[in-house]
This record gives sequence, C-alpha cells and structure tokens, in this order.
Amino acid sequence: MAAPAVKAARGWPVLALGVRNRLLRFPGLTQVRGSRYGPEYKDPQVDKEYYRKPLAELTEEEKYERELRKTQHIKAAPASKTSSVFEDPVISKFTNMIMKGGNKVLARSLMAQTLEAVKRKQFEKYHAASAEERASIERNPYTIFHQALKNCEPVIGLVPILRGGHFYQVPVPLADRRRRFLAMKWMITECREKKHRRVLMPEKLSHELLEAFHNQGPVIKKKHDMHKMAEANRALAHYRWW
Amino acid sequence: MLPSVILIGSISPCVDPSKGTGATEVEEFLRDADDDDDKLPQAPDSPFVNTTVVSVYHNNCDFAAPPTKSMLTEWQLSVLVLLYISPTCNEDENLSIAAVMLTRTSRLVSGARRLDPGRLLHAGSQAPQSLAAPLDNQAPDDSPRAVSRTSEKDPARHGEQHEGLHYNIPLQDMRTLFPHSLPPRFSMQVKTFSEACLMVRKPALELLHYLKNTNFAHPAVRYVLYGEKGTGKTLSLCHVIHFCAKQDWLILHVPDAHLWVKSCRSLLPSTYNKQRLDQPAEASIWLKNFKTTNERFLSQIKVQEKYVWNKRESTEKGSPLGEVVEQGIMRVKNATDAVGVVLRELKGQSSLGGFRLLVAVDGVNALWGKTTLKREDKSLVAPEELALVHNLRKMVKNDWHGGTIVLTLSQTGSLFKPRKAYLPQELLGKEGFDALDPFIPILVSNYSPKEFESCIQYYLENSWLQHEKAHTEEGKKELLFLSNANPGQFRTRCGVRRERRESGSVYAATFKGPEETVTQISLGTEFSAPAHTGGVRSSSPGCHLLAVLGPRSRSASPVSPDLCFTWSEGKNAPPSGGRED
Repeated sequence: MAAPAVKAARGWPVLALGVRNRLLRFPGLTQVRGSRYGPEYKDPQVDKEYYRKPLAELTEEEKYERELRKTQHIKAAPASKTSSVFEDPVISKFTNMIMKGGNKVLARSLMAQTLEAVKRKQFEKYHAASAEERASIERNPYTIFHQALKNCEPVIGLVPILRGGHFYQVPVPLADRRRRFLAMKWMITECREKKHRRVLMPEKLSHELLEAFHNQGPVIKKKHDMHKMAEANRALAHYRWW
Repeated sequence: MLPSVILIGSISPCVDPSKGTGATEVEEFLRDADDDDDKLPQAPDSPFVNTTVVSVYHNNCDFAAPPTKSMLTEWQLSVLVLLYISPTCNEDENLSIAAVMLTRTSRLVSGARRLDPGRLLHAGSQAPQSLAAPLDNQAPDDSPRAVSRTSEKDPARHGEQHEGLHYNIPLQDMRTLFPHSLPPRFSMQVKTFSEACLMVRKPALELLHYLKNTNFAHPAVRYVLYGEKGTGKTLSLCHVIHFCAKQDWLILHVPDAHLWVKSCRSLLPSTYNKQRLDQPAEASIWLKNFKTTNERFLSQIKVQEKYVWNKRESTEKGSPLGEVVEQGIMRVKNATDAVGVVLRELKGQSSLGGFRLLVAVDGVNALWGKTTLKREDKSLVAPEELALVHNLRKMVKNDWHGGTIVLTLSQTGSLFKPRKAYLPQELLGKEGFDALDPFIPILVSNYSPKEFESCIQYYLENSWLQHEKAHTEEGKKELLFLSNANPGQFRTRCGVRRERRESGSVYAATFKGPEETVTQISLGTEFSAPAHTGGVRSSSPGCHLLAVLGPRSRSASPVSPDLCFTWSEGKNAPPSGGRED
C-alpha cells in the first residue's frame, strides 16, 4: 500500500500520515469526537452525475479538479452516505437523531413508517376531498417533511451568558445548522414525551409533521415561545460580543 | 339516402396542434386540392369541398394543457374524422373516395416526417360512439394505460396477452369473496387506492387453464403453489378463487391455516371425540366467512344425516346446510363440530354433481407441522389432535371428485421452519409430503422485467410513488435492484405493506423507504449482529455483494467513487462467507 511505504521512506513515526497527533500533548485524553483526518484529506464525491459528465463538457476548472482528485488523499465515505437517487441528507440526519443506542435498523424503519403514515393520511384526505380541494393537498411525504421542519426552525435563539455571577438568556442569531438541529430536536422530543405509551412513534411523528406543515401544533408553539422570550429579553442583547 | 361516416385514422404527428387544430390545415389543403380531382369519380360536388373535419382526436393528450415539444413528437393523431355526406350510398364509391382522401392527407405529412399509413375504417352509418373502440386499438403499446392495466374483468377470459397487467376486482365482490381472508397488507393497499387490482401472472394463468379443463369425474387434483417468500402465492390463490366464484363454484377457503395452530386462547376438549381439542373462536370466524362467501349454496345443499348437538338441539336429515352453519355461529361451543359437519357433507355431496367444490387452503404446511399450543398440563399439542386440522386433512385428501384442491405453501407464519425454506419437501416434511402426494407443483417466482415495469406503472398511476426520482430510469433501476424483483419486498420498499418483525426480516427488508442505500446494506450484513444468521443472508443476493466501503478501507489511496454505484448494477455476487479482512 502506498501510505506505509511513504511513511517508511520518510522515516516518520508510526502514526499514519496525516492523523492529527496533537493529543500526544494531553496524555489523559482520548479523541472521542472529531475527525482523525488531516486537512489535506478531501471529502469523497459520491454523486453519480459528477462522473457521468462526458469529458467534452467539462470546464477547465472541473478538469483540473478531476486531475487533482486522482492524486489527493480522500477520506473514506461513511457507511451512511450513498449514491442512491433517493438519498436525502435531511432525512438521514433526522434518522440519526431518532436512533437510540446505535440501533440504526429500528431508526430507519421508524422513519420509513412515518413517511408511509404521512402519505397514507394525505391519500385519505385526497380521496375524501372534492375536485377543487384536491389540487391543494400535498401528497409527497418528502416535501411535507422538509416544509414541516422548515416551519419549525426558529429565527432567533437564546444563549446563556455569564455576567457578574449570573447567567442571562441573551437573544442571539442562530446559524443555519443550529436552527435545523433545534427544529429536529424539538420535533423528536415532543413526539417522545407527549405521547400515550400505547401510541407508536410513527403515528405520533406523522401527526406532528402534518400539523407543523400547516403551521400549527406544539412544535410551532415552542418556536413561537422561543421568539417571544427573545423579544422579552431584548434588553440583554448588548451582552453579546460576537 | 343515408350519409356515410367515413373514419380515417392515424395521421402521424407532424400536424401541429398548437396552431389551433390540425384540422384547419387539413381542411385548407383539402380545399386546395380541388384541382386534381381528375382521379376522383365524378360527383356533383367535389368531395373535398364538402368535407368538414369534424374533430381531431388525440391519443392520451389533454387539449387544455399547452403542448410541449416532446409531446408533439409523440402524439399520434389517432382519428381524423371526416364526415363526408355522400350523395350516394354506393359503398365502393365512398370507399374509393375515402382512399383518395386518405392518400391526399397523408401526402400532407410526407416528407421529412414519419409516415403513418393511416388505417382506413369504413364505419358505414354507425353512430360515432364506435370511435372509442378504434381509439383503443390504436393506442401505442408504451402508453402507461396499456402496460399496467387491462379492462378484462372476468378471470375466465384472462390469457397470455393479459400477462403482467392488473385487472380490477369490484369492491363488492371483494367483500363477499374475501371477508377477512386477504393478506392484511393487500387489504391496506386496497383501502388506500380504493380499488382492488390483481396482477395476472403466469402461475395463475396456468392454474386457470388446468381448472378450465378439469374432468370432474376423476378424483380431485391437488395443485400446490410454492415459491420463495413474497413471490405472490397467496394473491395467485385469490385470483383462482375469484375465477371459481365467477364460475359459480362453492368455495371452501381457509385464509391462513397457520392461525389455527398457534396462539389460540381457548382450547376446549372436543365434544365429539375425547382425544381431540376444539377451537371455538377460530371455527366460528371461519363459519362466518364461509357463510358470507357462499350464501346461495347454503339453502340448496341438504344435510344427509341427523346431527345431534346437545340435549335440546339437533339438525334433522334433509335440512339445509345453512342451519348447521347457523348452529355453529350461535353456539360457539359447537362451532368446531359444525365445521367438521360442513366439511363432511360437502365432501360427500360434491360427487353428486350439484355444485363444484374448490378447496383453497393457504399455508397448508401448518397441517403437518408443529403447533405452539399447550394443554393445561403444559404438554404440547400435536396438530392431529386439533379437530379442525384433523377435518381439514381429510378434506385435502383426494378421495372425492367433483372439484379441485388448490393449496399454498407458506413459510411466513410457519412454525419452526427456517426462513429460506420454500420447497414442498422442506415445508411439508415427510408426513405432509406423503399425505399430499401426488400433487401438481406450480412454482411462483419473482417478477419478470415486464411484470415489474407494470407494477411500477401501476403505482405511478395511482401516484403512490411520490418521490420525484421514482419515475426516472435511475430510480426504477434502483428499486429493481433493492427488491430483487420480489413482489413482497418491492411492496415493502414502496411502503405499501408493513414488514413483519417476527419473521426476523433481513436488514434490507426492514427498510421501507426507497432511500435504501447500497452501503447501508453492507453495514447491516457485516457489522450489526453477526449472530443474526438467519437475518443476514438476505433473500436478495444483491445485498451480499458489497465489500465494505468506509471505515474498513485501510488504504489511504483515494477511494474510487465508481465503487459506490457500479455495485448497484451488479446483482450476481458470491454470498459473502464472512468478513473480508
């Protein structure tokens, strides 16, 4: 293999090329989270369309990029990333958040059952509706899912900042990924805690997703509560320094 | 003088419908072509001046929607209706005039475009409703309507040409024929789509052919539908039952024999025979369903012996069978015995020729397998000690004539049978095989490419596949790969049925969203629970093939991204014996 040969030639220490060895400075700590790849490692390109483009259509930049990728180090693609046409990063993320104890099988099946339940409910409504209403009923569970989560995202959030021995909840603009995370977190928490023990998760989740899609329901209420608190604590905004 | 309506059909698509109707163009042309009517027979008025293009029919297109470029190339102007009020009723003359008109109009389209030599239909003085028939006949084969559905509702007329197509069973019939007897996933599909469509497939067609040519003087022939899990044995049986119902047979349908040998709450010692056990609940349910299906026979068939139920109740000889059934439904304690009586009577009387009997049992391997029922003293119950099973075994023997026996083997729901078992010898065991021998085995296999395409079209028509990539070629190929053309897996993947947890379904099978990922399968097979020996070896061989991409790859060389998706093309991979290290 190329890498060990390289290491041997340059006489580098045993650690693999590019692995960050900063933790040698902190002997008590083991690396739990975070990438073991160095900065020179590039993300893998799993998109089929990228490779199907004929050579003639590529711009100079793209040609250069292709040549570069042939020699660069590339990280291994995670097992959950695929080149399937049905892949959706939002759904994957949500599934990971539902997962408990590493039981991805269960999480995936719950997710699939939720989408199916959403679809079935919408189909029922569709069949029961008259011809004019039918055009307005959305039956695609993926669009409903995305729209529901988008509706649940808060615009502004609160952050506890320590000043003078007290923690103050300071309104702060949130990054995109933080907003998406909060929306998903609230949705899942709501469905886990506020359901009867006999009600199954897919049923509850599908119900909440549909309500959020129509801008109703407890998750939307939580978002509005967050906004109200931020509005109420407007005076503390100057505590933020970034 | 009767006017003749001459239909000229199939002008090819260059007549641009976006400019109003192609009709006006044709009209103009026809009017201009007045000059060369030297070939036409002398008519008082030139036929072209008289023609009015009544309407231009298009196949499968919506006039309201603005035509797009792709649509224009695909459209076929199917029928150009030229109402020619002929001054004479001379058919030959009209035909010749029509032929000339046709050649003229087809010259309009000649040149760069494809020439479709339109078919001339001389409709005489028929009403214009006959237009509908020629439209259908001329429908191109690749229109979705032709691929996935057929309008033939009578199973007796299903033949080779209907293979792969779905036919509709009216919901009213469904309620009488299959009161609770459908697989629950299929009934969910029926409920969602508000229609019951079965696909016409080869095994069912074969069976129908045999049934149509049965000789009722010979002993009843046994047909056994066998196949891997999820290939469509139960629904083929339903197709056959529908056919027999249409032909007015008496249908004795046991929807799932496995339900009789497991999880029975109430086991009573039999009143008839001390060694056996009664199952009142299952028997009464079966009697109710039997009554719903065969209402009209219950009053026709007369009982041939006297049956005494208890001190106060008895059924006299010669009373209709309906009374026995009623007795069983009302007095649940006697339900099992009522079932036994019904079976015995039907077996005895089918030879007389008053009716034809179809015995349809789904999951017949339950009759010779093991049970999970226990008596109060915790001793296991053998299947022959159950009265229902005992009577059904007698029914399935071929010592009577005047009907047929159609059986299905099923591993789903069977007890103590490995998941991969599907052959008759494996599922029936020696005892069962000897009891059923001789039988005609009919293999039910996975979808052929045509059937799979038809199934996808059916779901797309019902808008069930909502993902925007589902109707693309890529999406279809992926679904085909992931389900391995197995009908059951495909339905699970599309979310039309729920997967069964208890059957230890494979990692791949538990995924119902079409977002099943190729590498995800590898994660399941290689990493999670290697103890899952039954679960890991999936039924779809494509699942095995994946060497693990990702954390296992030790090489720092750039991972060839081709690996990600060329795997999806390959289906034949050696079953991975274990981890690749």
